Amino acid sequence: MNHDFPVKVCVLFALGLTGCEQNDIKVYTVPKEQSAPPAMPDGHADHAAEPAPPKLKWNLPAGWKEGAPSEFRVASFRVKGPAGKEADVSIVPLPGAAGGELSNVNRWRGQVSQPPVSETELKALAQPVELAGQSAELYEQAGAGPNGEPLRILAVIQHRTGTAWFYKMTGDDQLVAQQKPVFVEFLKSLQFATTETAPAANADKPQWTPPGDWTEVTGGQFLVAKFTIAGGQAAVNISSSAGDGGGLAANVNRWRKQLGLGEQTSDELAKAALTRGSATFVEMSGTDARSGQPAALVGAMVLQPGQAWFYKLMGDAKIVAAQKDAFSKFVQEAKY
Amino acid sequence: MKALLKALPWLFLALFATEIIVVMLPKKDSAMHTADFGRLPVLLNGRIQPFDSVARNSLLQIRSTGDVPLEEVPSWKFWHHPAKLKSTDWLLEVFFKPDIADSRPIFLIHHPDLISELKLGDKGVEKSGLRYYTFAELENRLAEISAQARTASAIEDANRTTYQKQLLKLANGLLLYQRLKSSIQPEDTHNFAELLAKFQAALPAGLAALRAQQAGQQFDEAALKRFSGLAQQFDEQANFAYPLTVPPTDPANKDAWLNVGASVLSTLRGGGSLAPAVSFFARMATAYGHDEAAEFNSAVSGYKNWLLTGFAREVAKGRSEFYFNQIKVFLHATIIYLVAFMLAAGALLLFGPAPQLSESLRRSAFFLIGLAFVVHTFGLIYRMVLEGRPPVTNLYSSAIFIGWGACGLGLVLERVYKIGLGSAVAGLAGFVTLLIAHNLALGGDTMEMLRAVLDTNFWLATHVVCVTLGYAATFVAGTLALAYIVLGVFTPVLATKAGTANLGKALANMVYAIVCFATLFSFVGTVLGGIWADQSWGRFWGWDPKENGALLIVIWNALILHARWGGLVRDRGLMNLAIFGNIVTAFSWFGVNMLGIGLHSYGFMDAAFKWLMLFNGTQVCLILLGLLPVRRWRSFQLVQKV
Amino acid sequence: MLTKLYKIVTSLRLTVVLLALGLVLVFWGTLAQVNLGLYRAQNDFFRSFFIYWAPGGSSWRIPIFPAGYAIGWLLLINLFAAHFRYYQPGKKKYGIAMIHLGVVLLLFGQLLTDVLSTESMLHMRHGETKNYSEASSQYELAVIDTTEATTDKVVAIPAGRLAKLGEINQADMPFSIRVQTYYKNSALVEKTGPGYSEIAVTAGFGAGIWWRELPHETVMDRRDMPSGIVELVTPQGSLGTFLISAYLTRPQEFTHNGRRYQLALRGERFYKPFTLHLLEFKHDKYPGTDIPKNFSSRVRIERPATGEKREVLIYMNNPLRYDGDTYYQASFDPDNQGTVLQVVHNPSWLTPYFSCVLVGLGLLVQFGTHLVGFAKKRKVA
Repeated sequence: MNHDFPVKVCVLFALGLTGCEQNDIKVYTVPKEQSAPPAMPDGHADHAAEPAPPKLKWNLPAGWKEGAPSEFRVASFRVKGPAGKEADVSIVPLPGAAGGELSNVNRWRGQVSQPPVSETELKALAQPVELAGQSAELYEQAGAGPNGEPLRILAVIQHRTGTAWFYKMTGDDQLVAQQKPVFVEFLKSLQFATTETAPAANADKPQWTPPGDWTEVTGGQFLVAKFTIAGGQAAVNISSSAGDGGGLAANVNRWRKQLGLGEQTSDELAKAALTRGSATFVEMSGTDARSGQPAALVGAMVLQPGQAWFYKLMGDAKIVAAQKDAFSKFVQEAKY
Repeated sequence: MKALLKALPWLFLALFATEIIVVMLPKKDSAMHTADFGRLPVLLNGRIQPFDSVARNSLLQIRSTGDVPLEEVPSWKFWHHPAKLKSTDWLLEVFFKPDIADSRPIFLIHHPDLISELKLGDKGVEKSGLRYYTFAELENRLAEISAQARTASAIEDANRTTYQKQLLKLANGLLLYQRLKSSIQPEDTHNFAELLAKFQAALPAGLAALRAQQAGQQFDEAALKRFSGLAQQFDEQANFAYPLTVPPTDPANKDAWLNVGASVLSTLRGGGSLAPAVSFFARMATAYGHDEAAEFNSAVSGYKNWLLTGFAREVAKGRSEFYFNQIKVFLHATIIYLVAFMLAAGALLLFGPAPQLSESLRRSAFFLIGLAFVVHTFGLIYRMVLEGRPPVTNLYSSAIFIGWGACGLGLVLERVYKIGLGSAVAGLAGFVTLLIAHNLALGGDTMEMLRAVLDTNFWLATHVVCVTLGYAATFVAGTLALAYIVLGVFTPVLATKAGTANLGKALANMVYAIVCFATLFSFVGTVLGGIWADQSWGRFWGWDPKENGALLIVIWNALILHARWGGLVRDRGLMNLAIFGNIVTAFSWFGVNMLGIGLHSYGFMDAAFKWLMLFNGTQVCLILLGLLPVRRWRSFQLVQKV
Repeated sequence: MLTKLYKIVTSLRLTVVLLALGLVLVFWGTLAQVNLGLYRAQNDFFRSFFIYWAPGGSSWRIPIFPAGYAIGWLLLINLFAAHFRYYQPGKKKYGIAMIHLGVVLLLFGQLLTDVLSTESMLHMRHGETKNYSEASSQYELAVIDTTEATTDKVVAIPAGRLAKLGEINQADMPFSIRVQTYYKNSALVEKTGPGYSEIAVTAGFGAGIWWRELPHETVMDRRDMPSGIVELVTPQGSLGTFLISAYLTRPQEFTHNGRRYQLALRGERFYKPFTLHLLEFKHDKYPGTDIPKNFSSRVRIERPATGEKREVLIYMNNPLRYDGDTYYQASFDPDNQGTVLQVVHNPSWLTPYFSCVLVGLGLLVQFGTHLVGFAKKRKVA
């Protein structure tokens, strides 16, 4: 019999039992991280999944401090008042109608312990303001916050091309009341920058007659319109950009990438493109980069003064082939 | 009588060997050299394969058979070979005589609700209780079928009803058929050569008009219209065709095969002439459509000769795979295994009452197993050469290999013990595994390419082969144990003398030896698998279902051995444990794939799940049988009486 | 009494019982993956001593079945003990000894791996250089002092500590962190929905966001996204309450006593004394299909301390082993412009190799001698 056997077993156990979760705090110094090179080159208008929010410009009011934008906020500000009082200003775009005015206003009222209002009462509450050159309604509510502190919320909801924009100032009752004229002035100063890649936000929908078997759905944040065909096996996305939207080649290559195809030179492209009426059509087939399924794509670009329109029919090859003519008619008959 | 008994094994061997040789001899082609066409190489699923493989795998997916029977023969008339449309002949019709192809009943629908939903009750042809429909009959239901299929495809696979699964299978079959139809010539073409000539004629003026239009200059509208109308047909074809049939014109880029439509359209960019393959295909199409055998044959041989200049390897690959498709080695092996199993079973049962006949049957079975093993090995190696891979690359080939391994073990046992049991086990295992393989082949191409992480011949040759041999050995041990229990309970055979001990003892020794063998291979195989995992994604063991399955076999075999060494079980217990090994192995082989999770999963198979449960049920019943008290065993009653 | 225990511990009966328990455990653990997910099932069934059952949602946890560690340890003990009891030196026993030594090595190596190994991910875009990898399932709260021009000072608090709530003090932080709420998995939205409550914070990004706690994620390719609320407290008073969340990809910034800080809940980071630079990522497919044939990353290693600078190619089944870590091609960005390498630090990675050879040889020797003996016996007969 081996005498040190029990000792061995104990040692083994000790080893095994130290495998508990380690909760030690680490402290270390590292060189500053180099900024990453430009990420995904693929970030244009119809990529609703990863939209690059349109640029907003504003005049920063005195006493406001800009915070870093977050996942949700395109802009964020802090306002400091006397005696450590604070208010927070945020600008948040959300796709779709985002619940509508009434439910949002009542949600804010709930936050300041106020009873909900009805649709007609809401109208009475609305205060007209000017926002980026358009009129909008401001809702103001005050009351006791979650911990009984006096709280005031100023909020404006504005709908632009399928997106609801929330402009909100929240904070200490007195401070916010005192800052209200500043906030209203700030709203007036806002401007949507029309950069090359941003969609022209003030573009209204052209007039068109979609074929009977297309279903209009709420598109991504940066689509003018979206239709699905055959239960989503194919879809038509429509977007627009200021200027020439980066030109035909850039957009066709963007589409090609969505189908997992390589880039084409503008010469190759010119050969492949067909012009019908005021629209230039391209066709391609490949593999949908997102679903991994074989897919076909028919794209069209229409140049209007100061504005480019992009139409994309993409999906299952058979359906795309069947819908091609209807799509082409739809594009050519759209009135701007 | 004695002479006859002596000659019987040789007679059996000669009979089946002759059949195999006849099958393997080269066949004469028909007047239209369709077999030559079937040998031509194309690129599909990432690999070069002959047209015949495209045809066969498509038919398997659509009709669940490799060819199309042309007449109804009652199944009891087994000697009557019904006239058949061979796979390549069917494909030629689909390509070049679509009207006739549309009238072939190939779409299997057997869900009664689906038949009534599509109002097909009065249509279709019934064959052995299954209803087959032609494309023509289904054509005006296409919209409805695809609408319903869309709804069904939105549902997760595991949650689909049988109705939805059938519908999806039908919809996929219809899609595949339509894609095949426009694979060589655009749909509804009657004279492909003429269409191409028209396109080429319209090309220069059309291109010029197009350029002018784009530059905003005056252009010939008629020329552009004529040209774009034609181009559109090829464009649709380019999007829809199934195999890539046109070899690359640039010999440096051997992989850049195109389909016909894409190849025709590529002349737009290069401004060059048509690829030679397209012209040959056009000649074949027109000749076949007009039944001109001489012209068709000359086009096929012309194309083959053209291919030989730059694509000799591809031609050779097409030829050898075509041959492999034709001889159907595994089908013949299956038949021989079945006959051998029945002979061996007869030998076992007649062991006591008619020893001489029994010995003659035993030798017959042994000879046939030997022949089947040779045929099986030939098929296995042929596949390996075709694929350039070790024997096991997917579930299908694992079934083939398990059968082969089990048969090999059975042969060795028979050589050592000479009592017919080894042959019986080999015959049964060979028959069942090849049957499973046949059903697995219905999913489509069995030589599909291996995804990145599996693309390593070293690990496929070591880990996969070891683990699969472990499966095979565990199954052999389980099957021997089954024989022990069935023979022991129902017959007095176990008590008969075999060599130095009685048969029961000999069986116990066999099972023990095989379990040792299984332990060795499954342990080494499993650890090698862990090392592979460590090499490819950084952890030796991840408790992945497939890994756990292999581990279960190792644990179980180790348990059997330790239980035996510790004297916890004797022969009967050993047998029951070995039968449970069948359940463990079946879970590891198939069950884990049905969990639908994990890195190794191949997908959910519900039909297979039913069979697996049935299998487990029978094994449990046999274990219960094995637990009967000894006095109820016929074999041991005798022992006690003696 | 002791001799009885000794007999039990060394008995083959115990071996068989343990193997049977192991069989049940592995089978059960495999099935449980369907509902629990791979990771959780691993922890519950294999990386613990017992499988627990909590009746009706109560806080009681009753051990109902031995789990991986218990069976593993008992098997090890049984193996060792039985060996001491039965082992007699002699040719016949070499095989058995080798087999069991190999199994011990394997089990022991795996226990060590469980204890000592760490896994993390290294994501690089084309042209990017990185000197750290990030764990994908372990989070840490990083408090980073970014005041200095060239270096950052990081205080990294593991998520396990956050989950315990309460106050965290660290000599290198001039404030303490009071964890008010911590959800191991959570959902964050900008507008309310059923089950959501508004996040009450006074600083940073959290205002106007709604959240809820989520159950542990069991789907294989998804992971938990923790969130919490922390208050930064100085002796002079509070700096405010902040939302910390794995959803926030940008760190939140604040200043205190003239120093700039960042606050981020992120995957636990492992810094290396060298950098990796992605030169090229390739995604090869079989011709005419989308079936992947190979993924490979061409990477440059630079180690300033030694002046080392070289290129390596990492591809499927061919990892880079460097500086005690192993880098595997694990994933890639959908646009094929970035690669994800799995980084594994496992000091005991070689044990299975030795074990495999030992057991394989042992089994061959053992069964080989059996077989030879058997053949001899038959010849005589």
